[in-house]
Amino acid sequence: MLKDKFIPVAIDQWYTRRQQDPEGDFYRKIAGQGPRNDFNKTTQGFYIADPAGTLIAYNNNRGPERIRKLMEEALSQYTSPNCSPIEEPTIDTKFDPQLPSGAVVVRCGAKVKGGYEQAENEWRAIFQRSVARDNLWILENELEAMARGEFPESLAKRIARFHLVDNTRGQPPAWEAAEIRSLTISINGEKVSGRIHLETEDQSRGFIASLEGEISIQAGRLKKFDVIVEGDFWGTGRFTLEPPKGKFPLVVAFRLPDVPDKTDSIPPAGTRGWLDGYLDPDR
Amino acid sequence: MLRRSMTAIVTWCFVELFSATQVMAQDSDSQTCETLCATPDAPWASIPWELDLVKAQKQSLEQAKPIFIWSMDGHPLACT
Repeated sequence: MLKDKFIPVAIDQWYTRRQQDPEGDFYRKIAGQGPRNDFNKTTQGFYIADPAGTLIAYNNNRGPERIRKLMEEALSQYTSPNCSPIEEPTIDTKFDPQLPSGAVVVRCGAKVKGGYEQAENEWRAIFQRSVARDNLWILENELEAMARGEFPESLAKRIARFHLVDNTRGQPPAWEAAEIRSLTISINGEKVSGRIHLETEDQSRGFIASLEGEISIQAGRLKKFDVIVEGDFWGTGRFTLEPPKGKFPLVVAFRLPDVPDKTDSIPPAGTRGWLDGYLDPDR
Repeated sequence: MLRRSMTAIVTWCFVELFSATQVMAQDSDSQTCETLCATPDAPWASIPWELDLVKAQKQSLEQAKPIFIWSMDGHPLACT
């Protein structure tokens, strides 16, 4: 039904509700008719709207049957309005982080491998089995460094601060620069290895892990980036509640996409609101 | 709670491919990278999601279909 009867669009509303451009205006027009119309707060949910910006339905329920019913009801009352397409949209560059010239996108995925108590319901079990997904940006000068056999400090810190997180149950806190207790990553031929110790000052959250993998750069182009970071994680963040108790095994994997797709254009979570800090993790 | 509910939906989508924790524990490093980083072979991944609301508005007009917006904290198709 979603494929055939709707125009499906997926957005990170953190950006869209802030954008001072036609896309942001259109989103705020729709969301402003719903219950989450304070644009200083999250407006997340499922919206069904017409191209004039009239909200037809909204829900934030996670039950598939509830959403199906919402869609069926919206379709039953839908009439296409007489309006014009949004023309020549300008883009609010403040909320449109772009992949720097010469940089490449590497996918990353994270999973908690164990340690959970028996889930009390299916939704909790889903959280416990989940795989989180993000994109890592590797800059041109960092590729050049790796081609010379050096693992660049900026890339090591970007990986550590923004990607070695437990994002399997929601949006996690990134690590502060001072929370990198130790970080060594080196290249030997195509093999890469390292040790990482991240920990908050109050010791309530941390990750002690090893890094292993293979990296290949041929004629200046990244051909392989199979890297795994695995170790003991502990603690949680405001939006990643109910982790396993104590220390638990977390694995974060990185790989160059075999087949690129449109999700590769989604900026890394770590760029949100602080692109400069993501690109230069010493800041 | 609502934020976590939305995250659960995304997680539920992702988990369809990735439920075999025990299998992953026996994978090689390369297989683990593949398992965790591949585009999931899951129903949600078969949806032709548009990432641009302005383009979706134009398509909605052209095809006389309503717009379905999956709006999250963190991008629904990544960064979750």
